[in-house]
Amino acid sequence: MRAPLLFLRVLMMGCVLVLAGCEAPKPMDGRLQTDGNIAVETVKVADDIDVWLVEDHTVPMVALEIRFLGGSVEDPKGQEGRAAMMAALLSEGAGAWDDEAFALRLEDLQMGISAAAGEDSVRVSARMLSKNLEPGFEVLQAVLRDPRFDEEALRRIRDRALLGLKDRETDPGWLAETALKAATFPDSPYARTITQESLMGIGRDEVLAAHAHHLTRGRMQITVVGAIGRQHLENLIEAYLLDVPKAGAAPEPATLAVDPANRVLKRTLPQPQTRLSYVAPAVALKHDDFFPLYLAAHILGSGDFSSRLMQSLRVEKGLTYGVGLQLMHYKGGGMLMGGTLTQNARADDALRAFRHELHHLADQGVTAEELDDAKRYLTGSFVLGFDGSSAMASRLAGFRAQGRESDYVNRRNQIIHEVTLADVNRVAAQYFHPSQFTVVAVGIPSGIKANQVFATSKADLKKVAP
Amino acid sequence: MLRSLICFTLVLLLTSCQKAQDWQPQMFKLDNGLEVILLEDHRAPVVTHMVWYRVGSADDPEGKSGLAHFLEHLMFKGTARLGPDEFSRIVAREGGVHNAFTNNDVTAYYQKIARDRLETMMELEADRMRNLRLDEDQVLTEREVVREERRQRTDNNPEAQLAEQMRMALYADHPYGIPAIGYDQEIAGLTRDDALKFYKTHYAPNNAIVVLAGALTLDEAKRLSEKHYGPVPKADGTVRESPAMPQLVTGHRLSLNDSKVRVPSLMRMYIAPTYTTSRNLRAHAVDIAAEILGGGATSRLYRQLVVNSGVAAEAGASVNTGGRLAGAFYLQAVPAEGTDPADLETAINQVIEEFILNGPTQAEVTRAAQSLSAAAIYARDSQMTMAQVFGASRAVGEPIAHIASWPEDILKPTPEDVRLAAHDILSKPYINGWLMPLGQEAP
Repeated sequence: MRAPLLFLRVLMMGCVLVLAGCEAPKPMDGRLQTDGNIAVETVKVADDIDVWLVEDHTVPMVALEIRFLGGSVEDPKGQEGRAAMMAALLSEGAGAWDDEAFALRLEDLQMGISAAAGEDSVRVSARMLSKNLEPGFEVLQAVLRDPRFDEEALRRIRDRALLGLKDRETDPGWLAETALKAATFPDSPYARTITQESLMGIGRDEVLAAHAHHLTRGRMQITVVGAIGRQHLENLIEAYLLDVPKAGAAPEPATLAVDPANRVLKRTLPQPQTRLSYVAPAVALKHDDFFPLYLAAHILGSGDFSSRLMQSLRVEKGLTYGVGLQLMHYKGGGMLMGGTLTQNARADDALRAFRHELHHLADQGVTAEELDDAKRYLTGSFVLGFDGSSAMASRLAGFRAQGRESDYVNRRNQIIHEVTLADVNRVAAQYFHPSQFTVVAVGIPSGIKANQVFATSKADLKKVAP
Repeated sequence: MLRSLICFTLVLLLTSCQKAQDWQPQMFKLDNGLEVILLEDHRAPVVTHMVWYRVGSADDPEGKSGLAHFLEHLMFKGTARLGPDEFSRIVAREGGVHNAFTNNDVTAYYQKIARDRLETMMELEADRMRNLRLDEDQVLTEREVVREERRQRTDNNPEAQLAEQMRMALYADHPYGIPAIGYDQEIAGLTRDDALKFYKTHYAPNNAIVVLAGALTLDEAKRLSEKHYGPVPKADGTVRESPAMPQLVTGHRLSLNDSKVRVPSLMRMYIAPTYTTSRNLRAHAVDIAAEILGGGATSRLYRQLVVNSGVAAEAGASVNTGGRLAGAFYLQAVPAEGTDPADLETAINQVIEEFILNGPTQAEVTRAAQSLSAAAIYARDSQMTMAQVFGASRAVGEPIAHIASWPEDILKPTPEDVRLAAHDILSKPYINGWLMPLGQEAP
């Protein structure tokens, strides 16, 4: 089990995995029409389940995404990791199948099931060949309704998670994330961290409680993409997925409010490079500033070469292999976050260059040409991410869990087009001033003192700017 | 969106994703020697356009390790008609995504973009196939970027450092033993002239393969390829060397203690055959062997070491059967808390010895082969995966018919074929590598 709170995934570095992926492939599909629209049908089952369906028969497979709203932010205090453990155990045996029989059954059906807990939802993903739909749904039914949560599997998964905790003690990304969380939103449920103690406190009873809490029909959203018709899907859901319990608590609200601590923190780690990570307050999806911020963040910090941070730190100064910043958003709030890696000796140069770019953006805004380029890229490439049935199901389910409507995918480009230069420049000034940011340097950074103020007056900034 | 360097991970992923099924590939050749592969996929108005050069880090001149990869970075620095980084900006403005990667055998560039923008992409790739221009200052700055890339990938990371040392031991003085990213001191000495000379030698239509996957017919593919790539002149003397792989006469035991390591782990490497170095379904049998031994929750290593005896927290095997001159078989394991690493190694050896002596059961072979074959169906869900599989396999010389028939061929090996294939690899000397916390001795 990987650390589930990977939400400070600081660097969008194109490492080798950029290209890979049989799990989440990257092509097109679905009933994606020549005008670029995606035909999402809504299928009503029983009175309370609306399924999103995109039917496409090109590849004989079906991808299912089931999201249960409410995720790890609902872990009880002291039981951090409860939802994640429960999710990890869903594929360790269910119904009559113990863990080995379950794994063999999946192989025999050539199907895959994975589950994980995010901050705001618990995700169960399945893909199956269309010739095996009936037995595939039978497995899915067992996973949702009768997971075994055998003690032996629980111990094995927990032991591995404990090793993972030890392993990340020296992970620069993890050190940066915990430092930033503690400095800027220590009391938010989004800051909770799995510890050895919290894991040791999660036994079978706690996992069962998590199952009863999270996996209910009131929280369930089903999204399906692939070679299956409306009626067939309806029948399968009626036959196999209706016995998820109806009753259950509604997802609890949680707040993520990032404090602009305006500090540079330092964590020592013996390695040749310093990781700089940074965070600033932003907004959640529903806020009017969301899309202007999304565009401003793209112009400053998309991983693409044309972004300002890449131009400055990589192309012009040769300081790094990659640098980025993005708008991350959760149900409870949003934040700007990102990072870079540079050799220890030049950590301070990278920090100055970053601060200079923030200052420049906040003061001068973006140009009409930059905004036009950003819109062209974001609207043109949007469709590329609906890359095959699995990818499309996962993206649609993600939008849905965030509370968007089924036609959002077809309206989204228009929303981007409507953002004005004035909007972007207003949010640039408001959210990107260096004083909004908290930075952590992990490594043996030269020239960086612990707890120094990141930004003081504008005049000071101009002096230090390169 | 960064150019990435593929050491061996891509190949691992490709072999685990496996190959195509009935997406029948079509292939043609232009007069200048350029080979074009078309994988039609009309689900959406999108294409993936890849250009593969048959040159990789194994072709780096002596003392200039990292040159093939450095050139990959420099390929974005402009041509006679295009300014530095304008390539990236044009692709982005057209709403496309793009990237590039280098491994031992190949260097590849790709864009994924709306179908009606394909011609622009072809113009850009055809242009930089022969017309690269490099500015001295930009070369020097990019060299620093690559050195940062090396620090990020390798020098920050004890596991990557150990793996680099293990590959050097595994392949001895063969070019496969030299890291694709290069040694820092050698990267630091690479020059503009080195890059241009290498470029002129290796970048030409007769040393390249274009893969087009997406909403395109064969007629369109022919017409567009002819129009944009047809005029690019071919180069002489692109014959590729194939240095022989030395035999590993004795194994090596390596270990690295590092303050950043908190949990011990074991990695082991053996030389393995590949789809281009072997015949008679040997490579297929090797893929099946890896799947049965360490492919997942039903594999022998996982069942016996993680579930039954509990000596390991993780255990698995994988194989790279995609290389041009050799492949590698990998075992990886993490001892369970409180387990003596030496005991884990003994337990692994027992699993291996039993396997190469008695072989797998028919049921194991059938199940492994079928799940590999099914992976080919899932792979069709991704245009990019398909383009990568065909491009990577073809670029190392695999006949296209073999790639296309893979999902059927993988069902053919018998238990004895699999046992023999495993025996051939796993009874030979190997490189054993332990990654250890400070103060804890490796077994």
